Amino acid sequence: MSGEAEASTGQSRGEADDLVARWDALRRREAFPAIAAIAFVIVFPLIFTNLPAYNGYMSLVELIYIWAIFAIGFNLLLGYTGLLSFGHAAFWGAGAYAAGLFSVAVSGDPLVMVLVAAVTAVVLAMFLGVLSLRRGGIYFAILTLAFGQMMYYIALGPLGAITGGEDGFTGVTVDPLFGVLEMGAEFAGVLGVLLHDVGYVVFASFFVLAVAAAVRIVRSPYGTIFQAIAENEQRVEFLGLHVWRYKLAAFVLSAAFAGVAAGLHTVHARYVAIASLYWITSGDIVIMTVLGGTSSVFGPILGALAFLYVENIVSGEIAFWLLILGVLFVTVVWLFPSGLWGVVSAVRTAVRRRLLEGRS
Amino acid sequence: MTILAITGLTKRFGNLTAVDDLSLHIERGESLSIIGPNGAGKSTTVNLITGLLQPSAGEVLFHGEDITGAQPHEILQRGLSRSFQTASIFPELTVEQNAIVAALGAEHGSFSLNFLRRLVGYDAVAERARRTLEDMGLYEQRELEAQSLPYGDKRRLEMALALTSDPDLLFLDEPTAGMSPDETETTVTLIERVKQERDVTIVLIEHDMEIVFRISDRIAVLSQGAKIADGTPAEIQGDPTVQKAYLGGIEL
Repeated sequence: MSGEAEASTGQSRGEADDLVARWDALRRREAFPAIAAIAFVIVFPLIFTNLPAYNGYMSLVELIYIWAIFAIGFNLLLGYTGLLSFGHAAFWGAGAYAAGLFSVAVSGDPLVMVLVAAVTAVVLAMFLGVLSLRRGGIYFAILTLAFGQMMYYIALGPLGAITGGEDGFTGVTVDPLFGVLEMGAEFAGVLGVLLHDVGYVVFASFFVLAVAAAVRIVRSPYGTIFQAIAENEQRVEFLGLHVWRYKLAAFVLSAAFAGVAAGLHTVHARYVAIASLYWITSGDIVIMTVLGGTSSVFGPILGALAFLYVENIVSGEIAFWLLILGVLFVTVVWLFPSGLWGVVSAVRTAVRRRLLEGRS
Repeated sequence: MTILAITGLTKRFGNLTAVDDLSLHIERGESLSIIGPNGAGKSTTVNLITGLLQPSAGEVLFHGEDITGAQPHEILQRGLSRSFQTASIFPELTVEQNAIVAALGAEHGSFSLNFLRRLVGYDAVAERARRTLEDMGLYEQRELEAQSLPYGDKRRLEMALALTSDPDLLFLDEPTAGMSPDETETTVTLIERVKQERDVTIVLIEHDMEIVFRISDRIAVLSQGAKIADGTPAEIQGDPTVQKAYLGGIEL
């Protein structure tokens, strides 16, 4: 190799090093995930609704954000704290019904409905958490499943007069935001292309907030304590930390996310289905989270996206979409145990290596 | 001054009495070792004192206060810490994060609602974690995953975790088990230094007689769950009951 070529390789390597270092520094910034989420909610619908085939629609984009909020929160419990709840439908369903009932009985303000759903989920989680967290592992999963199913049958039977029983809750009335902005009011011009309508801004804002909140929690003392509990619970206890309370905190925090998402879902669908309390909903959120990847805040977002895409778009073309979902799930989990986000990470690592190796 | 007083401590598992009416006191600043053949009840005793197991009978007073049957996190918060026989660490966290978990337990108590507080810039925690890692000679390895450490370093990290809270009393459960002679030497030196620098009373649960006789002021000997001797190293060495218990153990 001539001296000149060597020099140029050295230079390009220097630039690549610099680029990678700057990228790393940027990613470590606290605001980065929130900014990335904002960029995502602006760009994503443009791509998603204009795919060459099997393209999505705006309502589905909003639904993806709502389920992503649920999944992000669920992963604080599953991925970070290592607790598998099989009863999170309880918080999703209870929050959704609470928001619906509140809209009829008191106020249909979308933000207040979300707040009511979140508070309902949190209070319920404190109660069910105290009962379920007495045992670990499979017992915890089964207890949460049992309590979830109990909620389902209570809503179906004894409370049928209020919840609408098998027909679901149909009377939801959603008022304009702050009393003036109709959720369906579309924006004009460029704003209209990028942000569509008031409803989209509401759902997207909550999504960005959920990402920011989850990142903050993960980077707080809780994030490290949760991971430590997942790895060696007994040791955490012997370091003076009240493990049981931290587990309850993880449970309640995840339920808070579920509640916010459920409130948004009631605002979005203007209806609450009895299925929202059924165990299949608990299973769906587990699948979304694991499919996306449990080792980061962002994995579950990808999981929600893939799940809802197959459920709503692919199912329109292919009758056996559940089989497609199953095959997707098995393939991803088999080839990439760290989920779809693991694929992204692997690509990122490969690109980084390429850059650092330079052109030599 | 007595820092820990145990009276009549008993633990039964079904028909087996693992610890039998054990009474023992530990003075502040002394170097006590608890020895005994395999199955003598040494680890069970530590587990009873530190809250891992509930005693069937008896009383444990720490600083004069009753801690019998208290939960492990409460006992640690009062200033009594322990290490484990196996390296009980957080394998997939970095060495630094391991120490940070311990530092959090020490700095903000057993539970705190600080889930929106930035960990970066929580200086008291970072400082405490750094100090322990430096003391244990692990600071250079702070960015490594704990599971990638060599065995001796893992055991030292285990000790570091137990020390981070600056306990008044520390139980070390066979800290040199499975170590090479070199690692053992390093570890013993570390233990002696830590005792000097941190003003901590250390109780050693040991198998290795050489270490025990070297660093103890007083030795308590357990056999089949009961205390059979308690005295200075010289007294213990000349004690016929101890020799019998140990020789019996070897013959079996």
